Amino acid sequence: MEMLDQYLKTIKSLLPKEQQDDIIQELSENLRSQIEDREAELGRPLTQAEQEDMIQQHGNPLVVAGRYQQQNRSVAFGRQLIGPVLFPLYIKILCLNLGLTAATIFAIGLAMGRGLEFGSFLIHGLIQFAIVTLIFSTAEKYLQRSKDRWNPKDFGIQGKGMPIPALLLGAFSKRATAKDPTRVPRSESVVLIIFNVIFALWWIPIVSNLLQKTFVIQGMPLRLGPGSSMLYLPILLLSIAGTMVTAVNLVRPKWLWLRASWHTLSSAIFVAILGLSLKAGNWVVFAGNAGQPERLQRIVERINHGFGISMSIAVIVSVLVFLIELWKLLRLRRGHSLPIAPINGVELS
Amino acid sequence: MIHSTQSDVDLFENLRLELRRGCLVLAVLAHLRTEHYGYTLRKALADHGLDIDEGTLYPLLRRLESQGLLSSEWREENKRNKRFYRLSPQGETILAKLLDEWNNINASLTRILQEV
Repeated sequence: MEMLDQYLKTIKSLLPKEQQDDIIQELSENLRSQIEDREAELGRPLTQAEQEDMIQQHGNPLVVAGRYQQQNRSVAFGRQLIGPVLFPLYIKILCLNLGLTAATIFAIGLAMGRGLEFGSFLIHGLIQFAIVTLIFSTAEKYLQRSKDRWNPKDFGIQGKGMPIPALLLGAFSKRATAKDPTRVPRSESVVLIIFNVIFALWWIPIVSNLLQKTFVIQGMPLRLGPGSSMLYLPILLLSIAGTMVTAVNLVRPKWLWLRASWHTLSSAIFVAILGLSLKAGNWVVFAGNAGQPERLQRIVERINHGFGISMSIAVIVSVLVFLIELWKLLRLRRGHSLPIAPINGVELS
Repeated sequence: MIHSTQSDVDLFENLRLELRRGCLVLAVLAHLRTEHYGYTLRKALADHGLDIDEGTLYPLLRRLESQGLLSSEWREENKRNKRFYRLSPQGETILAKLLDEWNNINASLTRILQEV
């Protein structure tokens, strides 16, 4: 029954909080009654495959949870862009995105003594609204095409405590690819592209803005120093390159070598970026004239010392990640999970 | 010769769902004059030739309850807690009106079809 429990848990995570327990308890009873009935008919317990089929027939958790939403709201410009199933998640992501953007822009404005910068928020907010809506309308299209092709096992393995990724995996997974070790799951590529785009949307305006600002903390004018500014462009380029590689894998899911090589290369580049930042040091510097009182200089030194320790830990973790990725790449090259070769010109899929 | 295109199929499917939607509500209300929990109600409807998938029926029960047409209670049966639904007094009144309406529509439609 582990699969059923995971399935219910995934649906639960998508329901409104105040109704979660009640709906899940009822749904659970109904499904268990159905299983018992079927078992009584067959005179034996259901096999794993039969349970999987039954859950599959019950429906994609996204769709099931969507039907319990008492609201029927959607986004439509002429035709429906985001339907009632994805709408609650769309609103959550949009609010989270806009909330974080507003908090950051307003905090910077206040710290600079310029008050609440509504104009700046409006521009960034509109851009993010357009991008998030575009992503979700694409997701809606895909969901409509593939809502019956989800795999219950995705929720058993990947859904633990991760409602949003589980939801996206559920929306985009295909039965044929879910268990296939010779392909990069399309669900994984779609999730990564969405996260990379959201990350870039954040990184470009927020960090470039931060780099130009002067912060006044307890009377000290500070700005980000060379150790911080040198992170901006390489990380942005890494994210863009990652999106492009993932997009290629979306079209060519059998190119496992591409994903493994990119993971190894990008983790090596990330180690180098962090190493250079560590070498540059001075993540925070005085924005005012030279000759600050010694007491203030000591405070800045302490802040940089804290950054130095964090950065050193990040370098160590990144080196470990790089070694793991390198090991995976070498394992793949040795043929542990090589793609199935075409037989007589016919590709197996 | 008449060819059925994909858009014809989609159109038929949409109209069929629209026609079915109202009938399902009527069937559920009528069946809940005796008490059922979700799964047994679904089986009972299926036994009468009306298949409804779980994803439609269970949320529908909650919606009808929130509209005051059904009442429910959690009760133990076979050592398990189940939620039993039945028609509420308000539901009985509405069902009677809906059945009248249904009979009128059905009679009109029968007359129209006989004339054509």
